[in-house]
Amino acid sequence: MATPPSSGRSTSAQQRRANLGTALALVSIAVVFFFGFMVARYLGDGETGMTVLAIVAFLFLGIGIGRHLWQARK
Amino acid sequence: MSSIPHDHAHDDGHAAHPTGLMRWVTTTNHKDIGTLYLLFSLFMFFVGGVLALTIRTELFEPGLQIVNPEFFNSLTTLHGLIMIFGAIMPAAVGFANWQIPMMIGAPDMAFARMNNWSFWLLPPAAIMLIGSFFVPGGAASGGWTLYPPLSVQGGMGFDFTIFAVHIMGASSIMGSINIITTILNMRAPGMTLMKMPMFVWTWLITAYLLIMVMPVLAGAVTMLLTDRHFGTTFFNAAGGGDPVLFQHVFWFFGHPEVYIMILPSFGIISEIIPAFARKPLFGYPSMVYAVASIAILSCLVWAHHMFTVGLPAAGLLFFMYVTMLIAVPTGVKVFNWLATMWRGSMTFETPMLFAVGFIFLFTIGGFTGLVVAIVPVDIQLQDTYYVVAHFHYVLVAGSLFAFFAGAYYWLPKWTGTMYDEKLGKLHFWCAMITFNITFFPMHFLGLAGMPRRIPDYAQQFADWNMVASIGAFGFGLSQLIFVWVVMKCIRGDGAKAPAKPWDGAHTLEWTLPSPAPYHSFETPPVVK
Repeated sequence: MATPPSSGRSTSAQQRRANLGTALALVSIAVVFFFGFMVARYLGDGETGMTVLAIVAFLFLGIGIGRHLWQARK
Repeated sequence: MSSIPHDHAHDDGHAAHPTGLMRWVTTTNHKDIGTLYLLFSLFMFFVGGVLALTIRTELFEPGLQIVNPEFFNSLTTLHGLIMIFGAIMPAAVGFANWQIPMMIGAPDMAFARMNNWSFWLLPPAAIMLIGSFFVPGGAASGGWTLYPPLSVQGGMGFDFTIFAVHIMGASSIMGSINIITTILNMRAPGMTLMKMPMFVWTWLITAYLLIMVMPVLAGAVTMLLTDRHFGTTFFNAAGGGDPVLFQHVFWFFGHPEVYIMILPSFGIISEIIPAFARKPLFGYPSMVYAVASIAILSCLVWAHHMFTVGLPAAGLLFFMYVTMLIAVPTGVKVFNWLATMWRGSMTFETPMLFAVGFIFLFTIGGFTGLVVAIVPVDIQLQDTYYVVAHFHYVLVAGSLFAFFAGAYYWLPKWTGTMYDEKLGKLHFWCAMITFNITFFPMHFLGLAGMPRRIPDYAQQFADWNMVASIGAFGFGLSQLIFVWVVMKCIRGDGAKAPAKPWDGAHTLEWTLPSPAPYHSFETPPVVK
């Protein structure tokens, strides 16, 4: 999500693209958390809902950390 | 704050700026929007304060005095909602808007128009909340937690509250997206994540928490809405639903929300203490990891608000131990602040007084939190005034004192005028003394068994309630001193502030002149 800032401020278009990408990733978190519980509730019981939320939380965390490590290696 | 002039010399390439009222309605400038957030939160703080003082007037002595029980319930509900969503959270976002771009060397927030929209969603939500007092059936009266069945069976006031929460939630989510994007993508060259000021770090983590839990609250109140009007039975046992489910979902939002309100305060305190101790912050990396740990743990402790609903023993033990675990990173922060002060060349201007007051009182609130984290104790103290005392020590002496500290610290940068130090100190001591007169006796009331959210009480609780009510009026009045100080700064009534009025402050905003120019850091600074 992050554009490495050490290389200086990117051009305006690059900056906007990076900002948009970050924002979309964050919106997807919000959407999943908004609908996730309701969908889970329809599919199962309360425990299923909480499990789905926990898995989603750790999935996003895993993807975020993994992406950061991948970019750092490059 | 509003004294920041438009610097038309720097307007090249920008559209012509409107002036007067339209400047504030259409502004996309982070400083203007920060000012709007802060003024809005100050206004809502006084609205919530008036509700609190009405509650304390009713509780001044036993018996029913000035309000009926239904209205009393509306007062406690709206006081909580207004203070949390209308005062504390917008104040924190106001600080973020003003400070984050200046502290990371960015020209503005990443999404300037969305920033404007995030703020202007708040006044309609506030009008809906306050206006719900005047609809048939009155305002919501089930407590700020909106538990069913009361919230499913209540009047139109609940619908107003649900829509207000939706709107404020959308505003928070947009604000958080903006803050995270700004921090991740727009830092000055050389400012790596581990060189960011602590205030920026705390807001980055807070914003992630907001994005994760605000949609959950929105989902919960949406389900509440469909239960009320569209025939679903998510929380209605008669239709196969589960009222306790709402409590799980609500507190999955509600407990991280506590940290959403306190983490930016930690950030402000972490800026102020090094500045007035004239020493670098002790253990910066451990402070960052502590904030992250608090945020992660905050998502795993929600059911400690529900120890009396009949959870399995394993669940009780899990939530008790994880709640106690939060004391570890919180302790790291408190000890690091103390270590920063240790052998520092300290001076006690108003921001430092509020910061030290914060540490002292927040630690008391933290300790009482540990007390109610213990299951057998909590079963005794659940829904008593002990809990009321606990969370007011955390949120008033915690969040609010830190915001006062931050306001005094940055007012010279925002307005270009030094605040009145004598009035500032008077404000601190009045607030400190009256706060404790108000809320410390509530520990005794709670331990003696006085339940919360009641308009009348047994004779044995009369004395401490009277003391608390007197303190509450003192605390409310002492906030007028703060308004006076801010007004004087906005009018430029005081000494002119230098670019860096605090010799121990080292973050980027102090490299700008005071007041900060309308467009700051159009050329990014280089951080070494």
